[in-house]
Amino acid sequence: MNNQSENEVIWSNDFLKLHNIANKSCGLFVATKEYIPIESFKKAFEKAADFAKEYEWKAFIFDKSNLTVFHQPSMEWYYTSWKSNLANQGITMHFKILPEEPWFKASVDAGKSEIKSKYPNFNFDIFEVKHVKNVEEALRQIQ
Amino acid sequence: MEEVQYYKEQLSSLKDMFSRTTEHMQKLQDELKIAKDKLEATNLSLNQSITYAEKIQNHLIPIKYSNCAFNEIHYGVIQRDQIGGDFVFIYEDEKKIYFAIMDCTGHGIPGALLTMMGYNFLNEIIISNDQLAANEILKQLDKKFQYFFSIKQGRDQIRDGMDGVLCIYDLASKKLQYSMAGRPFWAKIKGQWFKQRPDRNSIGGHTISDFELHKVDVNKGDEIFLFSDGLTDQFGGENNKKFLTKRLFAHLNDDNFINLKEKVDSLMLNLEEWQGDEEQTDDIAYIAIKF
Repeated sequence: MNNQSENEVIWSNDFLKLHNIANKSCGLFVATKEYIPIESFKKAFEKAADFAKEYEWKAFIFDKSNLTVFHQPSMEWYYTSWKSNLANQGITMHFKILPEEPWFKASVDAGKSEIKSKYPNFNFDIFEVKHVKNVEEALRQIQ
Repeated sequence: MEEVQYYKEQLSSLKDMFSRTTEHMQKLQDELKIAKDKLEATNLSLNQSITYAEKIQNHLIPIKYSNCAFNEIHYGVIQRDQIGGDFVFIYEDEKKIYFAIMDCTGHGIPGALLTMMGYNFLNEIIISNDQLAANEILKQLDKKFQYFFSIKQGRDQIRDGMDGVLCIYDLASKKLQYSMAGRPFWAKIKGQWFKQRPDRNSIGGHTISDFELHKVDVNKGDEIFLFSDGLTDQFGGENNKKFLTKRLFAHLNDDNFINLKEKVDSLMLNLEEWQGDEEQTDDIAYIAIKF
């Protein structure tokens, strides 16, 4: 990431680092390992929800490029619980950076499809989700 | 979390990930197979339908026509697709021979539907009044298309129609009259070719057209060549350009052929070579006559 001036790491655990990008009112989660156990994942994102209020974020970037293992129960919770809570706070803009590995991308599609059939009334359309190549590309799209 | 436990969980999640993804991809593959089967069935049904439509449209092509009034007559229709928008019309009564090439708007199925309309309108007009001049016949054709496609309640106005040339040869006087709707009239009279450019009038379309009537005396050895624009618009050659009228004319003007049949066959071969591996650009219709 080139523009580091207004970017600070505000929280981290063994698997994730959370950045506050103040000039874009945006939170950035970077996965630092290839796999995140669900409990660590949940704790980190719950923490992020608190920071979202504190820093008045309007968008969220999740950089998953270091991940190699996709965990379906984590994704289910992330969508149906965490993201929905964030949407209640007014944050619906999400940017995602996926690993290059085609299998991972296929797994994300499979996971999303599974959530759709498991939660037929869940409204995916309330989220503005964009897949980007890197953080810079996401930041360029945030006004 | 202990390192061993972490890797165990990671491995288990990895297995789960591959299992779910494989299952999902299998499901997608099954859905694709169903969609493919449906497409194949639709395609088969469409092909059968079009093949039968081709049989019907082929009935428009006059059966091998020969009349002692002409030394030779050769004609052909090469639709771009199985069915298309060009047709050749030949009709004779005791006094006259009517012949025309017509190029309807578009090609494929809509073009073919228009040929059926155009052919029947033309037939009907000629049979109902054998005193009409070529330009009057075109005018009536124009009116029929205009009326058929005029604004009707609940339907959009359609401006389709056709271009073409209609000729009437009077067997007694040996005079030829013709009228053009957006297509040229080419003839070799007394050894000299003349290529008459058409006016911009079309049959059908926006406004009622007025067609000019032309007359010419024809004698033994004179030639006529009528063609749709598909012939000269055919792309091909080394630089993928149009065949153009200059190549067509160079061929027709070549007197080193034994007869008209050989000339026309050679022209068609030449056009085929020009096209090469390119797709046929448009429907093609032509009539070549030698008196």
